[in-house]
Amino acid sequence: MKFILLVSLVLVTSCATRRKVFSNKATDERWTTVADNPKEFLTKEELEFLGKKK
Amino acid sequence: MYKKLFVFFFLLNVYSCAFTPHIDKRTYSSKTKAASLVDGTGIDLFVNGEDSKVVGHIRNGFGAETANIEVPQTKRELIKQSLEQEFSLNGYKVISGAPLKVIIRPKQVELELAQESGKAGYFAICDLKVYLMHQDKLLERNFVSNDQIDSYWAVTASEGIDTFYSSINKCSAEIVSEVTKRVKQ
Repeated sequence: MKFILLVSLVLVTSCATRRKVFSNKATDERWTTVADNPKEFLTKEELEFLGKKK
Repeated sequence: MYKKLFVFFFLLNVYSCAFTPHIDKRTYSSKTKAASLVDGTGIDLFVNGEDSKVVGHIRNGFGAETANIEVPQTKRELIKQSLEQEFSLNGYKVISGAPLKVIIRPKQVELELAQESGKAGYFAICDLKVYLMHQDKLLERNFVSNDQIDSYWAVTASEGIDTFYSSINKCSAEIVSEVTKRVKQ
């Protein structure tokens, strides 16, 4: 019975959900200019939005 | 004595399980703020990414995801609506085909029910990659905003979802502020 109680306690306290690590993310300090050819990393829809073709 | 304690902890475990999906049916709350800053500059927005209405998950006492948290609009729609509202409130005209173009790529936009330091709560994050087309240059910047609500007592899903909306609104406000600074340079 002591064992069952111990397991139950552990389940309640230790196996509860853990928060994902969000804190290591932060807003960039400044704008950076994207490389010369944006077509390389923008998607087709994004390029169409900018009025460019892939 | 032990039997009673065991039953107590067993019931606590069962009680903490949540198997019912929470679907938030409230409409997205709008802000009221005096217009200012920019004098009618046109701006066009494009939000890329997934069309999911599931913004988070409810977990049981063992940490397993047992139910989804859904909102009425997709993440894309929410981000776009929040940004449109924020740009409009700051004097921009959000119109299709405007020369000032902004592309949003959501990296992580989600809500999590979790436990930390003995407290239960909701943790929301809005992590967006923003591309700004300005003066024939494509500029890039990452914007991150967090919000949370936690308590030693249970926090309702509705309260949790407010933190989700809040994280998106904070992100939008920061984006509008930084875009305005960059455009005015």
